[in-house]
Amino acid sequence: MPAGSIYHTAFRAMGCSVAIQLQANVDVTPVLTRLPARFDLLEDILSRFRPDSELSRLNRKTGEWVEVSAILYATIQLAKHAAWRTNGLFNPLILPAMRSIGYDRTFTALVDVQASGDFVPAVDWQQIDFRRREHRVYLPPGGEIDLGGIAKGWTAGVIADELSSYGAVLVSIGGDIVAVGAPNDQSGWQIDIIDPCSDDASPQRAVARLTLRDRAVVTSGIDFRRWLSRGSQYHHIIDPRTGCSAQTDVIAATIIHPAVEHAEAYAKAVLLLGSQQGLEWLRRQSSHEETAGLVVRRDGSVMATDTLLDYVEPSFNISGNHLL
Amino acid sequence: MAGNSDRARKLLVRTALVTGSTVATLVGAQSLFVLDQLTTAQTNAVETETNPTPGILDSNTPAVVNTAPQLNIIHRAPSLLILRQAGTSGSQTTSPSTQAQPQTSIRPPQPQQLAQAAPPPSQGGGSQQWQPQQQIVVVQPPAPAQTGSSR
Repeated sequence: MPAGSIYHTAFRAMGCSVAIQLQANVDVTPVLTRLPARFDLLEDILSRFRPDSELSRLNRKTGEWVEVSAILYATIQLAKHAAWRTNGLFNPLILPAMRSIGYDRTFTALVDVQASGDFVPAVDWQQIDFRRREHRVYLPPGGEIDLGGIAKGWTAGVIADELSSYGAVLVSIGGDIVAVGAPNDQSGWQIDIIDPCSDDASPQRAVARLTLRDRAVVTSGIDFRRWLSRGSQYHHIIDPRTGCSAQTDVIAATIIHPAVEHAEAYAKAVLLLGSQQGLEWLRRQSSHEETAGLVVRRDGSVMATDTLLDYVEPSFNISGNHLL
Repeated sequence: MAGNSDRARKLLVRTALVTGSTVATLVGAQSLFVLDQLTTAQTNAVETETNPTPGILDSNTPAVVNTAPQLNIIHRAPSLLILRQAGTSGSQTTSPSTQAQPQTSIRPPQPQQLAQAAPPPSQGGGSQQWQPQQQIVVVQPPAPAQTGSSR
């Protein structure tokens, strides 16, 4: 194969689309071919939709110390870290809330959803505990855990880190993206932020095109995974404070950060806080210079932190100076 | 004194959490390597069935979606930008189907969209029932990726 060929692979895993681009001087087809099987093994550990997964078995033992695998131990640690970073706005102990709004099966299987209407706030995430030497995890009673908000990004980071030994790589899992290096001596990988206001019947538009290198970009949105039950609309982003679908003016929040787990946590937090408060909160995070955010609101408007300009090449068209 | 010890405790906690995050990534990579060794034999058996011969991207390959518009900054404040006003489409790739609407209407996906988005759900875990429907091609130049709500 020619030097520096870019291999592109796509498949479905973790209930979403996976797309990987890898630039390599050797034929990496065998490496890429093994990926779907590895994702399947990860779902055997991390998926709440598989009744025999390690996560499901752990969730049946809340209130007990349970020995777990290294992968499950690591991802639960990351989830607690994300909760700490967002002061609980990201709370992984939301599985009971997920069930109460009817999201008790894969999204593609949601045909006749019945939300129970019994919404309770999520159990305090600070009660998650670890015994490192024994590799044991403690989930508080009633604190069943869902890793959907962290597992995709974590997996993307791990896969990207491994594949980067061959060359520049971009790993996208359900739109959670990790970009390492840059292809073909370009400044970075090109990534479009999908416009959630696009007409479903037409090709999807983009609100911005990013160029990223050694960065992660994550979007949390309520425009796709949503459903009706008993006359009420629900979506999959739970507000842990209420135990129900988040009430927010944000349709989609996109966050750029060097660390994918931070991007995931921040995307949820910004969406939950709303456009104004969320972006202001994002600005106050310790690594503001590295962090950028963009939100699309229900009224179709789009706002972003000024740090987004580090990742795009805008044609300036400033028509006024309105303080926000 | 109490303030110093409290700050020191918070620093220790934060350091431990950051270290834990890094370790988690390393642990994940190592664990995946072990998993990879276990799956090699299974994958070799499946490879001949599911691995298409990689080829150069041709005209049959789905085209990249609309070229993103150049970023127009409507308002600029010291730290926040407004990139699109309410009720505007904001895209340079306009068409009759993308008329501006004063209020965004978000509809749940239609059943046929869900069917197109995913293969039939698996009946359980285990690689025996895994059907990745994977495609591997060589592209040049690299195709723009997309970030949006998980689909």
